[in-house]
Amino acid sequence: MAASTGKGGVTSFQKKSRTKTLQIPGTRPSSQGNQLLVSTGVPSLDHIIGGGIVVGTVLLVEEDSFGNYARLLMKYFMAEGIMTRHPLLLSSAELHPKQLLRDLPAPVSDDIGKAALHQEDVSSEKNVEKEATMKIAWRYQNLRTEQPELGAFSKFGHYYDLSKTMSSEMIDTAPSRLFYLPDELPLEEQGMWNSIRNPAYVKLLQSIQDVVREGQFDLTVPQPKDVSRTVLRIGLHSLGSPLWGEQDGGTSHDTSLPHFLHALRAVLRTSLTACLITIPTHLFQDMAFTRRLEKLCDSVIRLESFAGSEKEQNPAYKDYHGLLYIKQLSQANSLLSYMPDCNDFAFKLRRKKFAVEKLHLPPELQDSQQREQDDPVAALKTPSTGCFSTSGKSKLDF
Amino acid sequence: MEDSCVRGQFVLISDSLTDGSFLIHHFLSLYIKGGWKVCLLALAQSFGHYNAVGQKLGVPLTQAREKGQLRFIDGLKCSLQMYTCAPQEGQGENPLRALRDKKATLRPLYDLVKTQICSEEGVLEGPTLLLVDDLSVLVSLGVSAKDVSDFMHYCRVLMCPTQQGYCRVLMCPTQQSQGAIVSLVHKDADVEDEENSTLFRHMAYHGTVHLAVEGLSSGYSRDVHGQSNLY
Repeated sequence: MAASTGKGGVTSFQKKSRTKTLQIPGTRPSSQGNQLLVSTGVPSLDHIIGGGIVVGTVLLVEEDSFGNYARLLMKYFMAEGIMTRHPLLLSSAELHPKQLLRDLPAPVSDDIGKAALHQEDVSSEKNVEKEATMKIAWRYQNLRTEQPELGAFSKFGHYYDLSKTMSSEMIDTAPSRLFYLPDELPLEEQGMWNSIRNPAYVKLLQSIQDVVREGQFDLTVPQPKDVSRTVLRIGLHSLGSPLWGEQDGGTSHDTSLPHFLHALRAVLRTSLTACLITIPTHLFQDMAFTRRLEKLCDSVIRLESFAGSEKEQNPAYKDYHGLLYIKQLSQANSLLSYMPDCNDFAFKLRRKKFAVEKLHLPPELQDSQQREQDDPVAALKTPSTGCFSTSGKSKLDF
Repeated sequence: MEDSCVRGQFVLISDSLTDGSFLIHHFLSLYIKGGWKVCLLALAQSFGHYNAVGQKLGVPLTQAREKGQLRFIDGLKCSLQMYTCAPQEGQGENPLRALRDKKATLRPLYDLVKTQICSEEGVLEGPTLLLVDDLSVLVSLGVSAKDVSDFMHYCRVLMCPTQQGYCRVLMCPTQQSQGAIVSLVHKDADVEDEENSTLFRHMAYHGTVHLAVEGLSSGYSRDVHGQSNLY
């Protein structure tokens, strides 16, 4: 891949790349093909979905029952956009997008420090001191001693501290466009379905198209060479909730949301955008409807939080806050999607990290389990998960 | 699976809990390399997607499109236009008028396919393949299974007219069917999707070959992706 990662390379070797990939700060090429990836803001989540969100595709997050963790993922996504200086488009129906933006987690402090240092370095001259002549590695004597730090904004994937919020200057200076449904579409019009389309979704799609056109993210329109391109991050929070006017609780007969997703795909595929949508699919009565929505998005993950369910007391899950299921991974521009090692993931939320980890079923917790009903770990070992539930009750009688 | 392009076949690909679209890419590259004229009705992905995969498989789709060997119908673009245009403007020539207008059928889409691949007299010129990716998207967008089934029936009559065995005896030998159709339907085993199941049953009835793609029955494995059966 072309040298775009900005690590301090001391050699002059540069791999010749045949394909010309756009070099945009905050993105990196995927390992599968010459596609650009954008970070979701959670580095461990990036890792399990194949490096990040592919530019031009949609990552669908099926919300947990209370919506907390999905909202958190949206905040990470937006915060990452601010750190990498990608313009944002945020839409929401119940919570004003400004409130969501005001509450973004602050980046972990050493990233800020580097960013500040970088500003000073650029303005002042680089001061290269002559070190003592090298005796062993003399070949490297004449090379520069320091590579310039490219700064935090071109790094891929930052860590955030949830106990602090991002400074308001950073948020205000970031280019963003907000779509708050009650502002854009007055309440009287929301219920009016004069055709089979939900007017709320139509308005949203039109505003997305406007932003793409104005911000020059459209790839079909040729741009002059010196215009630096960047990626637009679109966050659609809690789409398909009753506030958007979903009628009948989401049955298979309702085609507004599928049509919106299909038309959105048409817009995204020809522009430099990455989209994160959260949908409360647990509200839909019909699984078939959810499945259709999933097929129309590129990557799908589902969150299940333990809050309020009996799994909270389960000792196997005691370190974690919830489970994460990968339901589908993006196949855009490639023959196959990224294949993860396993499909059992759990997430835990710490102050400075939202970590997604492989869930390992622990071995027998205690030797003296009298009755099988008492052993909660054994209850987890269902045979249907395939290759990974290898541990079973192995009390061999001799 | 046979490696040669066979005429008069209606191949139905169905996938369950996995993605069978790799077979679409396979057929696309097979028939383009075989020199057939291909009409790709792309409802699920953009041209860039097929092109990117085609380059990896060694089939230059942009050149084929310029030469006229590949006719590409951009379903995504038509759908977007239908979604965002105001109801007062006429939908005009959009082939997916059925998405907005409940009374319309997929007839305009069939007419578009016909103009793309037939000569002025309305017959197929040379071996032609119609590749549909995929039919379940039409169902998701609100077209009834009956309308989709009618559309595919018309296409089948256009592409492979000699389906029934007994007809072959009565027809002159020069009227061999020139075309073939390959289409994809999603059929997830764990979800009860009535429209999709109805569509699948109709397509299975029309089709000559059914390729079913599904995951391994023993669970998820990284290296082996799934299994496929041929009916």
